[in-house]
Amino acid sequence: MTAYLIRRLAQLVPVLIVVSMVLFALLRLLPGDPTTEILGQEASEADRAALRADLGLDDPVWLQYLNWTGGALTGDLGRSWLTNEPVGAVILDRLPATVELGLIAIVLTVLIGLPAGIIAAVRSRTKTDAVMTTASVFALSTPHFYLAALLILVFGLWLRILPPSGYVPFTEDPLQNLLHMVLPAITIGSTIIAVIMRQTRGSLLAALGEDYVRTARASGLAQRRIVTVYALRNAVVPVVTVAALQIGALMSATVVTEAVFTVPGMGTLIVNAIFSRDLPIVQGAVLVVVVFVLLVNLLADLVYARLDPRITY
Amino acid sequence: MSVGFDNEPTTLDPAFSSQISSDRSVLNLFYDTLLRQNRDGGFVPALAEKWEAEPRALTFTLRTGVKFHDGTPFDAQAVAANINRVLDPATKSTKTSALSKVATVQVVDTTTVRFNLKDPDPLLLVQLAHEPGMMVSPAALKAKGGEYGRNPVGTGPFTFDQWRSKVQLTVNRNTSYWAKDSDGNQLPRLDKVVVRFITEPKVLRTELATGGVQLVRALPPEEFAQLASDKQVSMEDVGVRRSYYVALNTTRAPFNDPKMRAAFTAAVDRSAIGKVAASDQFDLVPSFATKKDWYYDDSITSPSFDQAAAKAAVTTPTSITVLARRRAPDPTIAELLQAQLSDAGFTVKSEVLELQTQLDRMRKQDFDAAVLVVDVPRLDPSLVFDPYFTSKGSNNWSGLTDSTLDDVLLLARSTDDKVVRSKAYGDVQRRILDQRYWTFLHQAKSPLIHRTALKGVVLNVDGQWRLDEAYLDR
Repeated sequence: MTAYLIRRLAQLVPVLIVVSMVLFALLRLLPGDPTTEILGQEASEADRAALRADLGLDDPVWLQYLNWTGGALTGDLGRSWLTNEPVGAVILDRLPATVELGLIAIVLTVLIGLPAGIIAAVRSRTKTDAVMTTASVFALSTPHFYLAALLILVFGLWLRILPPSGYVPFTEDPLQNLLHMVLPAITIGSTIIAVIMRQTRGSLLAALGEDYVRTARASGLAQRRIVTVYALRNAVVPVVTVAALQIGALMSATVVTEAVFTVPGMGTLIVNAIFSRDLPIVQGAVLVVVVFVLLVNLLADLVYARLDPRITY
Repeated sequence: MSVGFDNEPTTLDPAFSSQISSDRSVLNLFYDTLLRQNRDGGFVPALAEKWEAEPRALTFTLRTGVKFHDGTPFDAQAVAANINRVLDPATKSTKTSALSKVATVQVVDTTTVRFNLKDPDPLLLVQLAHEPGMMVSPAALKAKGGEYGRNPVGTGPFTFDQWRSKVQLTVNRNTSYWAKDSDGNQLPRLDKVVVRFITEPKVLRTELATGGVQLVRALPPEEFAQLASDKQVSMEDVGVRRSYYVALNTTRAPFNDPKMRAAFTAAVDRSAIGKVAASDQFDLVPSFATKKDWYYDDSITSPSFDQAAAKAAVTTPTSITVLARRRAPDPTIAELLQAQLSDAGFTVKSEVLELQTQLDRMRKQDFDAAVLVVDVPRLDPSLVFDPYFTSKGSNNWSGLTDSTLDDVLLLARSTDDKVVRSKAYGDVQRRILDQRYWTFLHQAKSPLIHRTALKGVVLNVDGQWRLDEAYLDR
């Protein structure tokens, strides 16, 4: 296991090198001039040229890349071109909101998606199943920006029981923090809950059709025990795979959701930085997200072994 | 009090501010200038009690007893340090060109400062009354260094508390502010202002409707129209407009041909576009001049919508691409243009891009026609016409090299005689319209929108606010 872990962690290094190169190259291919946002649209070409030189944009791309990676290796991700803040500090400032949103969405998934999937499978082809499956189709097909607007309208404007937007750090006021997080977390969670519900239902149904379940039933075991102990344990491995893949999707969902609810997280950070061509921020933030997704996938692989004794590393 | 603001500044250092139509509303919280310009264009004392103008010099007598938020005194030395900082090429300030006519700043005594000019500059007072003349604490600049832009220290009505990017900016009352209102009451009246950065118009509208914010910077027409029946919300047309335009690339075919530019303009039904894109909340005027501008000229007429004439002019197959920004309502405008131009015989493709890409294409003159918008009025007509229509203008999208136009624009910005200037800007507009360099579309209304409980918001010439005298009437 330890050897496996070390091997997997070592494999991350070439992946990260390739990702950083592709990322760096792609960002340099973007049309647009970062000086527009810094100096304003009315700045003269001479001022722009001087700033480009200052930012090192006149250097060859390979040199810019080496400068950046050199800094990154020592933990210095550079400074924002736009606000001059250290990239690392900006990311640390934004990470908590996104992580919190993600965690709440995952908790909602475990509390709603998993049980709903189990119930739908156990009661398959009944009205309960039909209602849940239909609800999941709705959740999957509703775009996040639309759901977000709908939630703001209903809970923010009509019922006025939840704040329509904004963010309060947990450390400042835990209650206000959670109140502000409810609507964005539901928005982000909607898709994952639906995906996990459908995946759980599908794999559990398959497991319930297996011979060992028939044998268990013939032995007179209680339905609850058959489902939770025998079938679910086998059904949950593909669910973990899908859940791990959803972490990537979760990151893309935060982009829209954070923008609508004005939550200062990684999603809005990356998107705003792309729009204003603040490339040091984009590079740093995307790299952090990539590392995070890779680690989550590694974690999923480790969880398999725990769930299914046949899988060993 | 909370403000909903859709355009977060990148810095709170006025020497580096870049968003000319929004940054000042925030900077006005922290900073004062030597003099202020009223809505009607007249100048009133601020940090200077009086001033004397000579053709090549300006002498200011400063108010005494004023302190920066860090406790250091505001005096002639501070004024000189501020202006010299903006003028110093090493500072790389975005405001250097605004003060380019200033040769030296001379400290006569602690309360007297004299600006010696290279040439007379009719715009200098305007510039000094806004960002280029905002007074920053020299001691704070020294102490904060590169971090100053996120830790502003001025003499203004509010002191900096906290700036959390993309969330909010919090400021507190400057308890030792120098200004009093006309009844002698100490200003400012508000204890605290929270500027919340909200970019989504629907969310901004909801926050205003629910009282989450009391004032918003701007809302698009389709959003503010929905607040019309809300008695808690007040909407006042203060003459601010978003002026949409189509720039035509005159450096290549087809629009290097004046006839084709005329055909383009004739094919466009501006009124139909305004009705859809601005929810019927718009003016149709010939150019960037708004109906309330001092240089607005009734006798200037817009080219009329004449599809038949456009059709007759498009005799050979003509393919064009219209660029537009990926932000409502620009893509809608591009679609409407596409339909109208196709009806007139053009073969039209529309490309919707994000702003940076669009500006890049326009700077390289890699486009045929492009839709964009400018907030008007600006502090002076030269600031709205010169960048776009002088040969050396930073935003000369159309690639113009029109010496007639250059000469009139130069004349217009070289004198402070309003009669001469007014006539010159009339000539400028006529020249642009005659040559059909651009097609000016509608001017969407951008009213001042706030909760009715909020009173006392004072506006700059271009509609940006000062909150010194604002208060909540509960």
